[in-house]
Parts: sequence; structure tokens; C-alpha cells
Amino acid sequence: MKVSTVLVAATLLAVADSALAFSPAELMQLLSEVQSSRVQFTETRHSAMLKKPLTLSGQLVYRRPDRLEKHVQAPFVETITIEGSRVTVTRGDKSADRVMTLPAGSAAQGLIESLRATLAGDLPTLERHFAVAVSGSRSAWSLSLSPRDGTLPVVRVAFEGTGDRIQKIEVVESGGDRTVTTISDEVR
Amino acid sequence: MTRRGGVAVLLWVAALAASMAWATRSLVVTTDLSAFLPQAATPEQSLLVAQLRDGVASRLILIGVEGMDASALATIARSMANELAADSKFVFVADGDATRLERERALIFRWRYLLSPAIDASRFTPDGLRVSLDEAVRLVTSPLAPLAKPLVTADPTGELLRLLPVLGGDAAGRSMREGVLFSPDGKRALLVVQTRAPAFDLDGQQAAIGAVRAAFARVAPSDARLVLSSPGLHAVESRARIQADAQLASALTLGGVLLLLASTYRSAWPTLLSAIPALSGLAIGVVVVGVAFGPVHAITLGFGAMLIGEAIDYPTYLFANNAAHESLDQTQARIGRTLMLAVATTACGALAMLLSGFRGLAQLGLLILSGVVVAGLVTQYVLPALTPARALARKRSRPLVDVSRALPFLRRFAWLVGGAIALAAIVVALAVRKGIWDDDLANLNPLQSATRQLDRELREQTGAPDLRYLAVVGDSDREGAIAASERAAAALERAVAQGALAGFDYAARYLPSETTQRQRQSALPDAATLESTLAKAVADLPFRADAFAPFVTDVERTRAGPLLTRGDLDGTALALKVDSLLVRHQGRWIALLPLSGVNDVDTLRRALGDTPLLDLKAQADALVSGYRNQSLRSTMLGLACLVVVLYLGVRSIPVTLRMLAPVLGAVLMTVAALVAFGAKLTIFHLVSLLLVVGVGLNYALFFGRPQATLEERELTLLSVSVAGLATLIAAASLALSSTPVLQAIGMTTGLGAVFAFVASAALSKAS
Repeated sequence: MKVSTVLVAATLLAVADSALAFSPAELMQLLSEVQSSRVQFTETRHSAMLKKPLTLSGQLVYRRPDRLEKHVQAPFVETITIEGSRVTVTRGDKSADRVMTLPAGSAAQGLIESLRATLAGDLPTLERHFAVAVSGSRSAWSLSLSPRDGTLPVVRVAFEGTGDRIQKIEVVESGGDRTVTTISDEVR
Repeated sequence: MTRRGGVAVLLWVAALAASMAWATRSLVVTTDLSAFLPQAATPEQSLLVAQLRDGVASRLILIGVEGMDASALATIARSMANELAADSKFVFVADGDATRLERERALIFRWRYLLSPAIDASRFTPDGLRVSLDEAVRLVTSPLAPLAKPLVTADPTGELLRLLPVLGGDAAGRSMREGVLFSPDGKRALLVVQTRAPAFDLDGQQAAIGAVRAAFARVAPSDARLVLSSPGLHAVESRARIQADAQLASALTLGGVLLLLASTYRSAWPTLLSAIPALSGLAIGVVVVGVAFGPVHAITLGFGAMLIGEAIDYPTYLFANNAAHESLDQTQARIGRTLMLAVATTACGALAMLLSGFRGLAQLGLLILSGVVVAGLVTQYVLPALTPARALARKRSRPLVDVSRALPFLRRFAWLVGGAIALAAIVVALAVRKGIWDDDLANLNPLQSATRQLDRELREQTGAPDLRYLAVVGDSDREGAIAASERAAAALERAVAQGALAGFDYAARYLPSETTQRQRQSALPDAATLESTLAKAVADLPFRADAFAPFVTDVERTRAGPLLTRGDLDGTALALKVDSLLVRHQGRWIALLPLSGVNDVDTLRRALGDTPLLDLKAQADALVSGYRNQSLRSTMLGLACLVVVLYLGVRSIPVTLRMLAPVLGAVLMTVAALVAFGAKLTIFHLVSLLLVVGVGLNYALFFGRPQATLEERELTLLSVSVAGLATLIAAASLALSSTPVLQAIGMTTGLGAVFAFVASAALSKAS
């Protein structure tokens, strides 16, 4: 009787534990339910090229399935819009818009997908470019991406978040430069 | 066999044997289609012909993949591009993906400070650098920063990014999807490849096209479709079509004529014997062409049909005129003079072709001329000796109609024929006033209009040069020509800004002149100066001054280093670009600037000033019309020669005129009929008309001979009918062809033969 009680308790614990461990599929499922988002960001870049860390701020907009906008408001004004493989850089003056195409399978595409496929909850795309690891729980998770493409000069892209919200992104480059982006609440 | 006959047979056998021997050892058959391009008169025209044979654009294969959704098409196009890029038959593959061109990118990066048009001293002042570095701040904070960073440290002024479009050629007006070149409606993914083989190397082109098709078959699912266009492909297809058409026409003619003869003679001997003069003429004629011109064009050989149709007439005149109880020698003695006259007039008829400026057509003229002469001589001297005494059994069919009534019946309608000729003259006169000639070289092109439409579409969508407008500058040396292309490019830049054209390409873009390179070199600061300028420029920027050490090193290396030379480009697509845009032509160096999307020629001309703008279409049209005028002269010469021969034969001006009248009437009616069918006349119609005169005179000559008996009249009608039908069979076989050149010749000779027959019969004088 006692033995069986222990066994039942152990089984229950094991089941509860596996239910608590947060899998990449579950995180992606959660993220994929977000139709669109608009958030305020602050990005600090630490680089050997710079005298001191450089901070940018503005808004990040995502709309399913593949539109991403980065509106930089300070220290300069610039909007980068990525839709599909098309990248548009806008600086207020329409005639100065620049458009380029991300070559499929390129390092540049991988770099963009680290953010966009995460926002989309698109696990297959992420796994094509990165080894994906998730830890923590639903209420406090972290996602770590390690590039599969050796030509991408990035060591790791790490996300932290809660539920379907991303709170922090850190990109660590091969040479030691890194960029930390913190995301505040949704802008309405 | 008479003694004379024996000698003739010996000579004939010797000539055939010699021809065979020569042919097996020395006969070369060529398929170079430019033999059917006019010989150029002006330097521009010769440049045009050279460009068509081996120009830049003529080596491009434009490839479209359609029939599926955009992402599937993009995948197919990319896989094809990968396969073709690895194939040595291609020197260059462009699917819009600049990463494909790693070697070229590295080359441009190495020489960026000599290649970039933005390089001048102001670029390296504190203010100039400040502008570039402001831009660099944005790059190193962009989402692509990890990739942009190494580039920014070595190239903060962004020269590589400025030069990269050079790799894709001029990107104006092209649309991209999923990193692949696409048509604007997204229904067709596009690829451009450049073959190693020049356009005139048809076997090389055929292999390259085969490789494209094979690559498509390997990577594409069954519902995708492949569309292709390239001058090489068109040439390969034309060659195949012309050869197939000409062979079919020859086979049809031979079969049809043998059937006609068999049903006429109802005996194997005369039918088979009739083939001897024609085949002898063909065999010896080909050798004459080979000796005179070197390589014999495959198309010329294909025209064996024409020759057979004409040469078969002579044995027909001989056999069909052979009266009962008459030996062939007696027949020969009776009609021999007329026969020789007929041979001479037909030979004159081929003169216009022989004297024309198309090498292919001249070969054809010589083939017909020599073949006809040989066939005539063989008929006259060899055939009577070869024909067994009793071979011409009296089994031949009666004439289809009763001759005693038929000819008088036709003659009663002489007024109608006269009226028809008068009407035809009016139609022709009106047509001549409206413009009867077709001077568009494209219409001589054996391509269907659907093929040309596809070519236009693909050219527009890929931004490939449209092969029509070229700015051309030249100099006595290479360096001078490069410098001249830079000056012309500056003028064209202004015209682009004014919207007169979409874009252009030029050699100095890939290899600037030494003068320009030195200017750029001298604008570069030395390392110490650049370092101190950088320090000033970054004073109020987030960058550290020493972040740009690779930049300082590269500028210094270029400043103190050698100039970019043509040899440095070896092994890259840029070498090919330069070599195709900078050509040696007639001892001079010519820089070509192919223009795309030209929409305002006047503005363009004003912008170019003294620089010649070559409109290849106008040049081609001028070439065709100049050449047609020349052919008109040689046709007149041929006609004059015909008239003289005819007069020498009949020794009477009234008889000469009476013979000529129905034939010239037939020419008028033929032209009127062609015009009525909506045809515009080309050079090929023109030279065929002279053939009509030659053949038609044969009918007039035989109808016009003094004929004593009813039997003789019957035989004459029979022989001329059979000869006329043989010509008609040959002409109809050619007219069935889908090749415009063959069709024009077939239609003209066919109509001409019918009209000449009817007019000669109706206008002949009753004896």
C-alpha cells in the first residue's frame, strides 16, 4: 500500500513536471496566435567600433504572416520595413527610399528570420536556420538560437519573454560585439 | 550509238567521275545562316552583320519558367541557375541573385576606388567622410549589422554597394520576387545565361540549348513550362526548319515528277532516263558551287528541288516531242536548236540570283545556272546515245485535250489574257506607288511572329539589350576607345535623366580608361592624411577613429598601387562584358554602348551630339533596300541578257517580241496576284521573277516553233504541259514550306509557270 502510494505520487510528479517543462512547439504555438503587435523598444549596441555603447529607441511592428517594421525614432529617424524578401529603408523623404531583396538562403535572410520567424511562431523556418532551445516556463521562458550557417557571424540570438510577449532580445556576434534590445509594453 | 554520241557519253562519265571524286574529298557543307545576310556596304552595316554573327546580345539565352505559383517557379529558376552555372558551356548565369557572383564581387571590392564614379577629392575631406559615416552609423545599427560591420570598416564610403548593380547589369525596370528575376505579373521566373559558343556556331548553340532543356527537365515538376529565346536558338530552329523544308520539297518534287513522267510515258525507260540530266546537273552543279564559293550552304543543297523541276523539262521536250517512226537523233535534230535556246534563257534567268549580294542566293543562282546547262547538254548529246532504240514505245498517253481544238480554243481567249495582263499592269502600277517592297529584314527571318513576340517580352522583362539601338564610338587604339565610351556614357547619363531611355551599358564601367583611373588615384589621400581626416570626421560620431583601419589600408594600397588592367578581369564575367563591349573591327577599336528601353530617339540623339547612334533596324532595313536595288539592277541585266540570247536564237525582232510578250505579261500577272494575296515583295520574289521569265520563255519558244503537222502540234502541247506541270510540282513543294524564303520562291515560280503557260498558249500564233 505504501509502496503503491509512493509510485502513484512519483508518477504524478513526473507527469506534472513534463507538463511544466515548456517545449519549443508550445512556445511557438503561443507566439503564432499573435496576429499583430506594436511595441516600444530600446536597443543598446556594444561594439569595438564604437567609443561607447550606442542606444537606439523606437517602435517595432509585426503583422502576420511576414511583415516586420522597425521605426527608429532616436538618435535618427529611419524606418526599415521587411515584407517577404523585400527590404525597404525609408527616411521621411519618399524619393530617397531604398529597396533591396534578401537572397533566399543567404546569411542575411537567416538573420532576419531569427526575429521574424520567432514572432511568427514558425518553428520549421527557425529550425532551418538555427538550433532551437527553450527553457523556463510559460510565464518566464527563454529561447536560444544558434546559427547552423557558418557564414553568419553570430554566436547566439537569445529571447526572453512571458506568455506570448517578448521582453528582451540579445544578439551576440562572433567578434564579441553584442546588441541588447529591451521591449516595453504594447503600444496601442 | 553514233561516234559523236560515244564521245559525249565518255565526256559525261568523265565529268561525273571527276565531280564525285572532288565532292568526296573537298566538298564542305556549311549551315552558317549569315550566308543569307546581305554583304554589308558601309562600316555600320558590316558592324551590324558582325554583331548579329557574334555580338554580346547574340550570345544570350533568355529563359522563362511559367505555369506554377511564384515560389515554386523561383525554386525551379534557382536550381536551374545552379546547374547551369556549373556547366562550362555557359560563361555567365544571372537570375538576379548577386551572391552568385562571388569572384566578381571580390574583384570589384579589390578595385573599388578605381572603379567607382563617386571617387573624387571631396569624398575624402572631413565633411565628405562625415556624410559617408553618418550613413555607416545606420548600417551598423540595422538588423543586418553583423553582416554589414566588416564591410563598413573596410568601405565606409559605400563604394561596393554603389558598384554592385554593375554585376546584375542595368537593373532598371526589372522586378524581383523571392530573390529571383520575375516578370512584373509574377507569372514567369526569368534567367539570363550567356553561352561560351558564339551565335554563329550553331552546333555549340544547339548543345547549350540542350543543356538548358536538360537542366529544366531535371529540376522542374511536370506542370512547369519552359520558354526560351535567343538568336542562337532561332538560328538552330531556322536551320532545322529550312533543311527539313528543303529536303521535303526535293523529295516531293522528285516523287511527283517521276509519277508525272511515268503516267505520261507509261514506260520505265524514258521515265528513268529523264532523271539522268537533272541528277547529272545537280551533281556537277554542286561541285561547281563548291569550287567557286568554298563551303556550300546546306540551304543551297536543299534547293535541289528547284533544279530538278527545271532540268527535268529538257528530257521531257526531247522525249515527248519524239514522233512515231522517228529516231531520237532525228527528234534531237528537229528541236535541238529550240532546246539549246531554252537552256540559254533559263541560265540567264538564274543570273540575277548569281549576281546578288547574298552569298547563299548567289550559290543558289550558280547551282541553277550550271545545273541547267549541264542538264541541257546531257539531254542534247548524251541522252540520245543512252536511250535504247525501242525504249520509247508508243504507249504514251494522249494529250488530255484534243489539240486540234484546244490551242485554237485558248487562242480565242487571247483578248481575255490581254485584258488580264492590262489589269495586272494597273494593279502593279498602283501597288508600286503605294510601296510594293518589304524592306524589313525581320520578314526574311524564318521565325514565326509568335516567336518574335516571346523574344520581345523576355527581352523587356529581363532588361536584356533589345538589339536595336547602339551608340558606337571608336578609336585607333583600345585605350582611346575606352575613353570615348566614357564621354558617350556621360552624355547618355543625361539622356537617362531626361527619360529618353531606361539604361545602357559600356566598357569603361568595368574597365575605366587609364586617365580616369589616374584621376581617381590622385584623389585618394595618403594614409597619414586619411587617418587625421577620419579623426576629425568621427569627432562627434559614435565611432572610434581606429575602427576604420582596413579602409585606410585599402585606400593606401590603391593610391600607391597599379592601375586596373584587362588582365585583372580574367576568369570573371567582367572580362566577358568588356570583351563584348569593346571589339576590334576592321583595324579599329570600337566601343559599343547597347541601349535598353529607348522611348525618345530625338532627345537621345540631341544628348549624344556627334556620337553616332546606330539604329540596327534602320541599318538592316537600309541594307535590305540597298541590296534590293542592286538586285533590281542585276535582274534587269539578266533580262537584257535573256532578250539578247533570244534574239540571237530566233534572228527576228518581231518573233523575239512575240515570244517575250506573254512571258512579261505572266510576270505582271504574277506580281499582281502576289500583291492581291497581300504579299509584300522581297528580294526573293524579285529573283524568282527572273526565273519565271527564263522558264516561261521555254514555253513560248516551243509553242512558237513552226509546226508542220497536227502530230507535231500535239507533241508540242504534250511536252510543254508536262514540263509546265513538272515546274509547278517543284514550285508547289517549295510554296508549302513554312520558311518565308522558300515560300516566296515557290509561290512566285509556281504562279509564274501557270501564267506563262496560259499566256504563251493563248498568245501563240496559229501556224
